Amino acid sequence: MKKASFLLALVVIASMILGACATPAPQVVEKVVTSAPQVVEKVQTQVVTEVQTQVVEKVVEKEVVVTPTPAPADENTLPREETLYFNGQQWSPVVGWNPYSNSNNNAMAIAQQDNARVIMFETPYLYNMLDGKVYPLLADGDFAWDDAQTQLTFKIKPAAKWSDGTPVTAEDVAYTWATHVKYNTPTGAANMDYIDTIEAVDPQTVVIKAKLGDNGSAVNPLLVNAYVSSNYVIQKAWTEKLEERVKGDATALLADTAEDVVYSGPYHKFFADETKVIYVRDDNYWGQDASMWGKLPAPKYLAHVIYKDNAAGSVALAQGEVDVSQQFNSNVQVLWENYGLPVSTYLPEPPYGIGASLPTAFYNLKSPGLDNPAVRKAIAIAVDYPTIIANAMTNQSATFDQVPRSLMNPTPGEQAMYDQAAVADLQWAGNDIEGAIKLLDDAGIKDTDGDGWRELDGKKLSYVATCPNGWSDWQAAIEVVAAAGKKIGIDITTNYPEWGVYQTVVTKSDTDLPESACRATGTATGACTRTPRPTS
Amino acid sequence: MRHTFRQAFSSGKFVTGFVILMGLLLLVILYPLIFRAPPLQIIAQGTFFPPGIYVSAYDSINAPTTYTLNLDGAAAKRVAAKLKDEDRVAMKEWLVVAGVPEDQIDISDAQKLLTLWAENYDPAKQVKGMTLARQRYFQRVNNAIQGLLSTEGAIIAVRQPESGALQEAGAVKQTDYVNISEVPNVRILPLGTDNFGRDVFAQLVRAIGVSLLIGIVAGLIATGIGLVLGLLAGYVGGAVDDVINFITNIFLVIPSLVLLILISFSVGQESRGAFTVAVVIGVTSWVWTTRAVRAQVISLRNRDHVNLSKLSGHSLFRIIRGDILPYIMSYVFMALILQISAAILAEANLSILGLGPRTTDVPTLGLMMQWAMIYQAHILGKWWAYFPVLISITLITFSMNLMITGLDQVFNPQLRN
Repeated sequence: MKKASFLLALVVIASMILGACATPAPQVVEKVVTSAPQVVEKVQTQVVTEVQTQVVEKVVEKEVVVTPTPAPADENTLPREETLYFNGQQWSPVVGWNPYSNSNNNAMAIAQQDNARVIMFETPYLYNMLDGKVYPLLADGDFAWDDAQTQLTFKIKPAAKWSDGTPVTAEDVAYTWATHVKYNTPTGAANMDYIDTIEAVDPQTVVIKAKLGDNGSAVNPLLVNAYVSSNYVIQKAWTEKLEERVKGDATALLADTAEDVVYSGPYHKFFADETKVIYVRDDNYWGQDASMWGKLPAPKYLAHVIYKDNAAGSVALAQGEVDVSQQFNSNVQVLWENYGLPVSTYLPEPPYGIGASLPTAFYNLKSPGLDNPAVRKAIAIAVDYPTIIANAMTNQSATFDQVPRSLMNPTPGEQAMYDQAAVADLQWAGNDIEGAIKLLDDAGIKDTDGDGWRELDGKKLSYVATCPNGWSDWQAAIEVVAAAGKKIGIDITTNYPEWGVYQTVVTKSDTDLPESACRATGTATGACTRTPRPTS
Repeated sequence: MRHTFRQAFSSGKFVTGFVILMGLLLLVILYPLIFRAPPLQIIAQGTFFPPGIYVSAYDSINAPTTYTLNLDGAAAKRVAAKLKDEDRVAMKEWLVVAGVPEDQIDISDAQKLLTLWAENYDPAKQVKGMTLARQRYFQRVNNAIQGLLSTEGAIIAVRQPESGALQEAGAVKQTDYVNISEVPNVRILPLGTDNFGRDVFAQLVRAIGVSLLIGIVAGLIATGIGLVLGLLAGYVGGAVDDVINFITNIFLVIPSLVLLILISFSVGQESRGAFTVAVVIGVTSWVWTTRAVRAQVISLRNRDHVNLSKLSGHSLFRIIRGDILPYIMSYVFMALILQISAAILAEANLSILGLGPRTTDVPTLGLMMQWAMIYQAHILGKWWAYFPVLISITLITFSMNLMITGLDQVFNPQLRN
């Protein structure tokens, strides 16, 4: 007996040792780094939608090989083969699921404006920034303007359905707009000057009437164009339910977390907490109709893990815990060049991806001194942009030679429509310290008390530049800005609050140079429409 | 006094610690005198250039004289640098997939392998089951080996300013060498560059200096506060003792790091220079010194010589200075050294949390660590950005602790041999 137990013990020990020695099977996980919009990776952009659909299609091929297993519905044991792990859009917990509000902090599911993401809610059209065209999603065919360009007509696909099975109708589109206007939501406020009404002619046909100027033509028909590819269609029935719940109170309507929301997209909420947010596929999604995609997207689950910072996200990518990384991975080429990992980027060479918009420092014009154009321009021309590109962004941004900077995206589709020559004399290459010093001296902004910093009207030019903590490329970029400030006698301090705090700080505008999504230009910031503008 | 010094320097441990510290100090003082490059200047366009000697390629081509050296194996080295063994194995794999019989592929013969590759490789070919990343790998290999076996030199051409046409300006043969001392632009980067493209070694030297300064200022403040409060509490006693003890106990309960973080945060970064950080560290770390000094003073208070001084009507200040301080000086000195090394660590802690001095102001060891971590130097294997910093912090604190141990043996009768 004793001998037997001794033997047993030996066997157990041996198996433990062998088990420990066994080389773990190499984890073959297809990794696709979409650092496409990496310059601005946290700024969600249209290209992401594009890349997502590409990724989805890609995995479809894989799906043929994989036998789908019945999913255990537990957020901690998602089936690896059916889950697409994503990171880079969500840096703090999701707040809500309300498509009327823009403070949901739910980047993957609710991102309207140009960069509309359509995994849960859908827009009539999808904007493809690569060619600058729109493609129908909920809409059926192209939209049409009347001859005077005062009203735009499009049809809704007959196959389009809500998650509760009822059809998406023109009435939903009209009621969505009516609600935006009635409760003065951010979307409503932003478009009210350009869109007069949206009407449902019949259940399939939508007519958008543009606001007309004094001369009888539309104020800005392009913004009407933009509306149909950047704003979700929300169900009328659910909206009425919501209105009843909030008793017509606009603040309550925007603050509602809308856990019961009805959606038309292929994914919806499965789980969300402070560590991750998981979306699950709706197997009844209308898009599997032959008139749309003809099939369901492959991943049963989309899991977005919330990491502390870029470094943590990069580790996860290198470990194979993330399939698609949409964050700044510094020196991403090291992953394949030095470590031989199966990681690839949208482009094989630097900048490795297509910049979907440009990192921009916004000036707070209410800050003393920054209301002076000379100060703004001096900072802008003194900044060493090549260093920001090569060092802060580790070459993951197009150089000024490749794409001269403007307020247009550096994508071929948008650049083709832009006359670079016409603005050439308004552009600068940066790193022009002498020029900046001369500009300030000529404007009479000098260091009068000899402390090394210039004064304007007796006040020292001292500013705070901010970006969220952990967004390493931006952090380094504004350090380069601060270094430029030092050289020209403007005191710029960097400050990295947590993301949630940053949002509040930028909204309250008590920071002078919040780094956001356009480059530091001395001109109006209002022109940067492709940026997640802080909510007001 | 001299006797004490002699005793201290007879301790091997003290001498070792002292030599290391002095070595670092010498480096801090001498290096900036020899190499005058400002440590925070951004020189590199790109991140984490590896340590080494950087020779201007342009100047090498235009060197006054080129020398011809016929060295054995030069060609082989050139090939090996671009065509590694694992590349050869991978190329074989690809060729097999492309339909070349396995026995015809000899990966030890670079010539044959490259010919086969040139004949068969098609970058557009889609191999079933091959990931995009792997496809890209083969494209990179293919690019790297282009013209690898050429024995021809390279032509240098200049662009004509008027016509834009290229005109031959010279040629570089494979056997051409330049003498590095004849190249006007050579920069040695002993520890490469960091994420901002700044010389890591120059920064490190400056950072050690700043850290030592922060350590000394913080140490002096902490020891000063601790000593004064300890002496008062211990010698005066009574209500004074109670009050000081009460405050000390409160501070003891709060973890000093938390206090440090809160104070640094509320100071705000605008005014957070190296000196401010030192002061903040100093005013949060005096607690243990107070306690220890107080305890020692209490035991000294009722000694005969103190009582004699009291009877002689000496003032409080004189008694403390003449009759008490000399007895606890050795302890205070050791406490000071400990405080200095603790303050250096505390600065590193704060800076890693982003609460240190400003990045554009002054390099410190903690800031260097912070940026190395933000730019994932530890993940990407860029050891020169963080490892020397770690070694420096370790050397400073190690040398100081070694000195303490040595001094302890000198001052503590129980340890004295």
